[in-house]
Amino acid sequence: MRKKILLCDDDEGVVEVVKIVLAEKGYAVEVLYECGEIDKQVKKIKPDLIILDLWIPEIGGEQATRVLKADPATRNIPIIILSAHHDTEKLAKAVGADAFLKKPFDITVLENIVGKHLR
Amino acid sequence: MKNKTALSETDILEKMLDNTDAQLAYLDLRFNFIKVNAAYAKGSGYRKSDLIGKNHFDLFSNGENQKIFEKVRKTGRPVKFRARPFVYANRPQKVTYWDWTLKPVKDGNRQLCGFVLSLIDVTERRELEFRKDEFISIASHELKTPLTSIKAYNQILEKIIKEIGDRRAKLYIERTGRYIDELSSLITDLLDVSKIQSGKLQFNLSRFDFDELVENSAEEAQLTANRHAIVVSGKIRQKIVGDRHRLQQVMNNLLNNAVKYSPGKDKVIIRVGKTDRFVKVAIKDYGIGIPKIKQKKIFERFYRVDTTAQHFSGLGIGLYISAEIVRRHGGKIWVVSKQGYGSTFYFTLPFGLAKI
Amino acid sequence: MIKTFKQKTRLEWRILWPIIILVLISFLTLVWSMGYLLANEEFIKNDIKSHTLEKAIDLYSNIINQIFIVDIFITVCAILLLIVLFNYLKRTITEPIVSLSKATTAIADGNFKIDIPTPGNDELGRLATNLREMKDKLYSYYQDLQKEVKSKERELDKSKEIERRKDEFIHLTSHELKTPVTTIKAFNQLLERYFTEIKDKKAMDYLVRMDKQIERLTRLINELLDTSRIQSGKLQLNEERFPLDEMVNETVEDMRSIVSHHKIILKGGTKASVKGDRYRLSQVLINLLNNAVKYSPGTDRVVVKLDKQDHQATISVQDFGIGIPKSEQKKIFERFYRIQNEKNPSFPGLGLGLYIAAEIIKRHGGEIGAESSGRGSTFIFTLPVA
Repeated sequence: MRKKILLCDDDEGVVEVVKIVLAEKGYAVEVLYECGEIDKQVKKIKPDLIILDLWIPEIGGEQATRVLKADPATRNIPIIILSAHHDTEKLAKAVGADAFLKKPFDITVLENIVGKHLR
Repeated sequence: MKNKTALSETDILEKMLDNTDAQLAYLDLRFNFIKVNAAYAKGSGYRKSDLIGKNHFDLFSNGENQKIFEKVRKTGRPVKFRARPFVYANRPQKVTYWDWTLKPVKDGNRQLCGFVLSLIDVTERRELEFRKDEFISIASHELKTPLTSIKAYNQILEKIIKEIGDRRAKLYIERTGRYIDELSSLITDLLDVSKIQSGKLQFNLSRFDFDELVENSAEEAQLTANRHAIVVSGKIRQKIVGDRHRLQQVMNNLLNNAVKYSPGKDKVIIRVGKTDRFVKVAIKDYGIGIPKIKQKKIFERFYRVDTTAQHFSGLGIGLYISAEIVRRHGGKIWVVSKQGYGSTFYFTLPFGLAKI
Repeated sequence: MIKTFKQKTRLEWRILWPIIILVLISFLTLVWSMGYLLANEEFIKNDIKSHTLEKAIDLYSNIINQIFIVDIFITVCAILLLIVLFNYLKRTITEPIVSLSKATTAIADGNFKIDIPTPGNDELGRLATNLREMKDKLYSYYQDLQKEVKSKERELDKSKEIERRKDEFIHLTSHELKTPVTTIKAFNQLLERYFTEIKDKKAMDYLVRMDKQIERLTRLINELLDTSRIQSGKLQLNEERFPLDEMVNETVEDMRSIVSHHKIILKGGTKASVKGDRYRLSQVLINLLNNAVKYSPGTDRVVVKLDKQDHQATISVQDFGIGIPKSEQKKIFERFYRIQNEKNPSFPGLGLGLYIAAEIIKRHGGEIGAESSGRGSTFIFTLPVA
């Protein structure tokens, strides 16, 4: 069965290209543009991996990660945080994200990180 | 019983005087120093005690300033200067800049009894400000250079891909092109800001059909608005004089904002009307609205209606530029908005321009 | 005597006449007592002749008693009068003086709201009026000064607010610019893969060049972002321990693959490790190498030296180019500073690289500086050894 990836980012350009890259690798990608109720959505969609932008509307990537990692039902889903600056890596790790990807990223790096965390 | 630890009014005043960067001095009618604060003493290079009783112009002789002081004494009216250059006699090659004011003080009988002189050294700040302002235009240029190459390569590749005809590759190259354009327009906005700042924003005037402009803008906005319907209502059936490109920029900005700040809603309405002298345009969205206290500020440079949790892409300069363009055309721009219900942006443009 | 009498002040009169009254009373009492005694002397004399000695003594002592009683009565009255006079003096002299004294103490302490009563139209009254005028003047002078200071503070605040918004703008700009760049880069890479698949070398060449430009753009935007982070105090540094020569070697190698017209020579070495942000320190070295190449067109080499002395590691980057005049050697680390050189009118760059480099080195507890003697410049920075 195809692995499901949930992508939460409000920028259309980034969303589109990440979808293409991951779809070519054979993953099913679902996109959330508004991430206020991310924990509910995650429970509904049941993805195998979550990619989160740090700056997402309503809740922010940092808070979303905290919420998801605190809930035992969603705790084990790996979370990759996307951010515009490498300084936020520390922050990402601090809230429990499994990986951190700096923008603009190399698509090979994206594929590798996703692959690694889906194994 | 007097509370020895509480500060009295004099103590508080003394602390204020000695802890401000502003250099303050009280002079008598002959311009002798009666009292100075710590910053003034430090800035002058003298100790407080060495200044008290001495004459200002014995220590800092400057014919021009002396004339100014004397005029204040004669007229009883204060003077104020911004970034006025001053050269110290012992350092003639370095020009310093000061914001300074000289205010006359009157006693109980409304007789002139002294002056308050205040100075702020703005040399460094001015230099930094110049560099910062210059920086914005430098940054725009610097960013445009690689972008120009990127766009050129992209267009070459577009041709190659067109010949090959692969659907995937076509998609990729089209998207790349679109985002190159978006980046380019962001950088252009930056450049516009710096032009406005240095008063170098110029307009190309022409007489054109305003309804056509509105139609074009609506169509263009509709291309990228997937979930919104852009509705135009009203026609003026008249030509106006203005910079068509710049006015299109205003329409695009307002429409893009309307779409952007009403996610999940399904329409944006453009209403066009006129009086005998003006065109009036209203662009209405049903989105998040703007809190009343922010409504005045949104047309100011660098202002964004934003909270840290919500992220809407786009710089806060679009409205600033639009406001400038409208005002320079002799029109007005304003917003009526209620938080949670949406916003309507209005602007007017005169039919004939006296001067632009 | 008459002159000085007339010159006596009102105040002195106030003090004087109660005393005069008391003296008068004493005098009158004395006079009366003596008068009474004298008046009864004849009577006593007659009585003594017609009465026995005993009776005479009785009579005499009666008279003395009468005088005594009256004197006591008068004394009591005098004391009462004294009390009244004392209160009067207190009210008209000591109280005003005390209240004036309190008022001046209050004013000296900075309390300008105290009330100064005017006790009449004598010198004290005049003193009170003068004091009140003085207080009013002083108060208004202080208020003026206070207003002046406050308005200056407000002006400073306003311009600080504008500066803050400018800085915020730089921050927003860099963040916003990165988003389309991310997309452009990713699509670019997808195209690279596509053209690799179909083996189109020419197209690949364009894509590689395009990628280089995207990198350059990204670097510029990162500089903007870094600068705004430094300004808002939000630049975060990682801390890890790593061998310095490893980082230097790696960075130099990376640069060698990018730099075309210069040879990067590496001298020296050290086994020392440092504690800090490896990525950021590499960034500093990259910036210095980029500058070295940029500002020495027409030359063919750049020399990097790595050294350790005591507890300090030193890295220097030397070029043989246009050099830096002494007056600018400190300024170049300031924000937005760009070389203004008539011979070479414009070098690309934002003027932020050295500002950021200086901040990074400073945060690591090191120092950075530039010197320029002979041909070219040498940039040196130090780091404490772990």
